[in-house]
Amino acid sequence: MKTDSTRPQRRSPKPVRVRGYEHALTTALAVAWFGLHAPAARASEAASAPAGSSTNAVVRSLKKLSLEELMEVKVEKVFGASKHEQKLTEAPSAVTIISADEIKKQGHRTLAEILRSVPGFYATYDRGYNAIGMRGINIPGDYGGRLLLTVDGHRLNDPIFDTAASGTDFILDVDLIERVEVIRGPGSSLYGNNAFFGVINVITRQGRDVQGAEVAGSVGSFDTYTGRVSYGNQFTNGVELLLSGMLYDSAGAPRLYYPEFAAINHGVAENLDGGSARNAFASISWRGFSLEGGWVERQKTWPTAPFSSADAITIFNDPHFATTDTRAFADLKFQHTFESDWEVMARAYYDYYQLQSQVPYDYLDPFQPVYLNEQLAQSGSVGGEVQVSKSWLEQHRVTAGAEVRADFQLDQKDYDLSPHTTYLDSAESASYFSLYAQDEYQVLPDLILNAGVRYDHFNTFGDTVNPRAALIYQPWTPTTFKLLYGQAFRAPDAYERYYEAGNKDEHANLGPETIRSYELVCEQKLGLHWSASGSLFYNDIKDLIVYQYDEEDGLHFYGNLDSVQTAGAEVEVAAHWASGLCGRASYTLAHTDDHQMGRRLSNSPEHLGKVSLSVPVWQEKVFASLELQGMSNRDTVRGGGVDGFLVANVTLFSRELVKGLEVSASIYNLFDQHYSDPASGDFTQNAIPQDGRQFRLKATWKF
Amino acid sequence: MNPPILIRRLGLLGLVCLWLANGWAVAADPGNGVSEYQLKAAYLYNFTKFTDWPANAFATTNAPIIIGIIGEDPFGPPLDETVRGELVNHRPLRIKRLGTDAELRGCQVVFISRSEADRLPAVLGVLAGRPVLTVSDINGFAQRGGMVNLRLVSKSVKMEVNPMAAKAAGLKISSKLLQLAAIVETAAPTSTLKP
Repeated sequence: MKTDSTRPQRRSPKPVRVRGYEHALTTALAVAWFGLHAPAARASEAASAPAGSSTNAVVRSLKKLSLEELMEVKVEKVFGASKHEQKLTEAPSAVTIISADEIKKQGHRTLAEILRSVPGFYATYDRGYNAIGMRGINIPGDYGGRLLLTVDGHRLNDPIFDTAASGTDFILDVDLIERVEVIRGPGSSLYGNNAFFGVINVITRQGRDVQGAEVAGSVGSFDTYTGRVSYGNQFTNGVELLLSGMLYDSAGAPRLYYPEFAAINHGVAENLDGGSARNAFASISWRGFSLEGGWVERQKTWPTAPFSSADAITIFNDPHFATTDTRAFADLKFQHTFESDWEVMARAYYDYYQLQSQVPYDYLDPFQPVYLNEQLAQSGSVGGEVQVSKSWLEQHRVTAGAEVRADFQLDQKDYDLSPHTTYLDSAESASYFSLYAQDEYQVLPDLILNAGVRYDHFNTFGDTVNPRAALIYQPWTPTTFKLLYGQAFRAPDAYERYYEAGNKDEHANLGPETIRSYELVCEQKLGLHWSASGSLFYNDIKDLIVYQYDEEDGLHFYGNLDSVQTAGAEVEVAAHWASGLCGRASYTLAHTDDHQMGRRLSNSPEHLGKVSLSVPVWQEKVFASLELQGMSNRDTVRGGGVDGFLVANVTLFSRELVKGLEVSASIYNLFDQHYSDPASGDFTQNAIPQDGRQFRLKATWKF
Repeated sequence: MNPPILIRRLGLLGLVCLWLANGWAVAADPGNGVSEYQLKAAYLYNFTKFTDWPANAFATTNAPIIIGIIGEDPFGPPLDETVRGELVNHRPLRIKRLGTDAELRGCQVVFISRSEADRLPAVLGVLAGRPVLTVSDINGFAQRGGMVNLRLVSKSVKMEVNPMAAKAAGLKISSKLLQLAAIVETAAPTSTLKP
């Protein structure tokens, strides 16, 4: 057997770089708050009615509006944060909602791009996978496992790598998204595993939202083409149906230069950035029943040649390096509200995941210059959940539920193709069950206490209990304060438990990572069109699972070895007019402190800012949109760092110029900014340069 | 910076935040924390202005327009507040929470609550051919023979109108409302109470 290091590692060794991080947190906060205070002051000058005029004032002003104006009023409600629909201001978290309209107008191509527009979020790309993180935490090699990603409430993180797939490997075409609800803060008290920093719930469009057929196609830089066909309808018997299929193909950047490989082909990876994807989605519902399923297969060639070690060198500029990810799920759900106000939800589901990767190695064998190493990971899961909720005594809304899941297949294989040599053949299984309860207690007319707790029992490591409590105080209709405390966990995934299983016994003791999170949120409406929110957060993360090299015995293993503290602030200002003019600006300050290394985490920008603006150009039919996203410098895993950057994207979007036709044109990275994302320790490169200026033309025809 | 110092500083800033927000008390307006049914109540009120009832729909020339709610009332007091003191075509507006299906026929507008989703055919059957504007937010209401469906789409309330169902009931819905609504075309339901 070759050494362990011949195996592709999906997680990085810890960073080895020292950097001071004592910065003027207080000053930055003061500046941020001052920025907010200025428009607020103007708004209060304009105010005429006294504070506290509450519900009746809202009702009286609503009835004065015309039908046209009523259609522009936004209801502030969200489904995800406490599992039943509620007003946004009463959600026990800081919540952001991105609508389909916003996605179209901004020309977002992937879920990762959508999330890049969300305050506090950032996504990195290593030309293999996109990885999403938030508020200073997106450890290279993590692939989003500390965020729970769901589609219509169905969990998508796979049990082998925990990946929250957000690029072309996301199971849903972006066009099928009705809205994305992003719930920041720990959510394990309701959602269990992976809801560590937050929950991303993607709501799909339904048959009635399509009402007929839709055909969409796009062409973009690097010979990128997409095509989609969808059909949806709601029939008179109440049955609602949606069917959709999508194809994606891209040649990728033709020449990528990596100075680290200067000895081979002058460091240029030629025509190795291509990829293709296919996905399909179907949903059917009737009365309270709904059945939906999705499937995606994504193939990607890797130009970056990672996973090298001293005696197994990944061959650079070789087209054999490729991965294929396949994901599928089916989810049957029943939802009904009985006359007695009992709300019942029950679901049963199936999930499938497969990763097949091929890496061409040079084992320094003079008789065989190339060995093809293949890695195969495959999982199958079934599960079910039952949840009831009911209002008690006017002031209480109680939600309780139980969930059970079995990952009946957790296979990982690693072998050379010729001569056939097997390094790993692991077939495992895992399961958990859990119970949870939450009470939303209207203590006073303007004060809500939202408290919940969830118990999980994993067959692998045992029990974990995660509570959450939120005090939501709304002293005046436009003002809401939220004081939040929550605990959450991430269970070790199959890769962490079993990949290095032969090495040490540590995996047997591997337990969950835990977080305790404290947050103060303040949300403020400013007149008809403006809103602002601010948040102060502190997170205490313990037992972080890290990949470790033991110098005594020379072996790699995973252990609950690190702890991290983060503290920071986030502010957001948003504006919205009936004409379609809208904008949003946000700034996030995040300090991270990695105890093991005694410095900030790698890939952790201290400052993160974004601005988006959408302007109706002609008759609410043509819109011009601009997006600015930037962050400060980040440390890299291997030492050194990458510079801060600012990227601008612009999109011109039109609808109904021709009946049923939507057309958009986008330029991404308008100013051709050169910037890089930190790579994980598996890479020879310190950082991976990102794409320069790109364009896309897209048309959607409904009939 | 030690975490405890950080917490203390954050705590201090939290107080500053509270203080700042205290100065922000702004008048309530329709953009502020509008709940779904406050908004839908305003729609219901507007519908009385955009619907023409035949003369026989009312007992007297100044009889009130009665808005009935069948099933669990999702509106609560805000609906009463919405119509209080209002006159539409010289008629006052009344809200009536209905206990039985028999009371349906005495109304000019009926809002069918989601709690009645399973009984929808029966409720529409009772009203078939009667000059009563039917409104609901049950999925596919207009497709299933209802007149106006109030759908929540991307946080806004949108209207779906089935003009044929209204016409069959002898109601005239103003073109202004129809222009703003998505039009659904299916036949009106037939009465379940055939002679």
